[in-house]
Amino acid sequence: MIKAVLAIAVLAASSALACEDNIGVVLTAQKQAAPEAVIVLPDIPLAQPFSARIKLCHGGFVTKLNVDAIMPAHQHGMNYVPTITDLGAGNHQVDGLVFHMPGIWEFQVEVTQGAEVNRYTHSVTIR
Amino acid sequence: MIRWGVLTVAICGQTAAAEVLLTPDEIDQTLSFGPWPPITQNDPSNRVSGNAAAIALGATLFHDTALSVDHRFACSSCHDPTYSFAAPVRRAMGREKLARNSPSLMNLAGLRWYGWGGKSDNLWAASLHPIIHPVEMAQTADSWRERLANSANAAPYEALFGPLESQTPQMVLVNTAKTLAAYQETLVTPKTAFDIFRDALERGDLKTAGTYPHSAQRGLQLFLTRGNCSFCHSGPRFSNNEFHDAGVAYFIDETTVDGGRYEGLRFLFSSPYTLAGDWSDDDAKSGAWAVRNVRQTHADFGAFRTPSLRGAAHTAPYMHDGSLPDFDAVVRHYNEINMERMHTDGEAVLAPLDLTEAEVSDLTGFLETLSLRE
Repeated sequence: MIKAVLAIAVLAASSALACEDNIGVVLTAQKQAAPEAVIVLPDIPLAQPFSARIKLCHGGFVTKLNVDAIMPAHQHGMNYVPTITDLGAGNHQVDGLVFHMPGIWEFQVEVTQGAEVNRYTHSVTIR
Repeated sequence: MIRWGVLTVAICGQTAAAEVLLTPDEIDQTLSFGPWPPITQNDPSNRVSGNAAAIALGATLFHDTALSVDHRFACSSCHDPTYSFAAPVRRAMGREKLARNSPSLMNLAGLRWYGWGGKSDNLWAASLHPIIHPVEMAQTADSWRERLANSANAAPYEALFGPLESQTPQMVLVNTAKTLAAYQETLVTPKTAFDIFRDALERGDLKTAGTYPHSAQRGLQLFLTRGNCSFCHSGPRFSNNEFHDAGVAYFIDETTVDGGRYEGLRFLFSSPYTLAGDWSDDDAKSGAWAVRNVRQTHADFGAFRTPSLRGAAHTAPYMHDGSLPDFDAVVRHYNEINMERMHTDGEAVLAPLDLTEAEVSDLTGFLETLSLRE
């Protein structure tokens, strides 16, 4: 079975599970002061579409959310632009993600809240 | 080399070494290439997908030269069942020499993209385009409806879709393509020596797995590791069904370039026959996300769809332009790949492999086991 192997260090740390419901993995923020954000992932199938959920733990109005992913070692990204749906209360559904090759993929999330822009990353290994 | 599961088996009073050479991690990767065949669903965009009468009509039409305007070609002219529904020539011959090699039509059910450049997102559209392409079948929707109405195929067509006179030529064309798609969905390659090996590994039957030739096992190990083959040739079909620059020349001749995926997307975006369009029978448009969200970049230029490796021993020559005559040439192409040919901003996956002659032989030996030889 093809599984997404989440970075062990991230999974092992209990602090990586965040928000009140302890679901998902904390995204790595570029800025220390950035609000905490979490990504909830399924077992990611190779070369097949999957969905993710991104949650800003403390809510707040999100002006814009961009989600993309790249393979740093291969110098390319996804072949599809994911569809993002605002579910309210800081929750967003991300559909149409496709990781078409095995290896390390890095999610790149950009959250705009008014004039403030925060960027996050999260790496997964796809087999 | 780490060896796992070394097993000595007594056969007919003799002792033979039956070994599985793969590491646990390699075994885990190997399991991802099956089981075979995969379970597929009927195509919701094609209301006659899986319909026995449509499959029968599609099979008849596939082999019927009536599909071309002047009776010169049948689908099977370029997709010959003898060659796993490909053709043993470098580039297909229509009314003129076409730009690309005829791809095999095996194992097409349920794919996301069709054709070397992925200009179709469904099988009935991929079946329709050659019928009206001016250098292939060269029909128009009008000429095809008239041809069909005056043929023995009119009755089975009307039994499926209703009276011809009540249908527009465009509707008849699309319905015809849907019968061709229904037929092609039934074309599946059989289990091979690789599948016997893979399935034995899955159930922990090392005795059976160990009978898979050592050379093929070593070739599989190269396929999974140094060869970097499984980056693109993944899953039960040995293809991720996406698009890559494999370092093959994309000049068709001295003045013409094959744009590959770039041209495929341009065509797709202007096509009325996509899963997002009105000709799809799927009200939910369930597969349309791909055409709606696919990303076009300049790196698509010269990229072509990853072909399946199943049954590939029957479909030489290889690559989108048929420029490589056999597996040995394909392996040597990647072994000695010309990095100057690659996109400067392309994928950093391909590099010369530095395989020895023995390793080239092992890798080709493994590829052979993905086909069933008579």
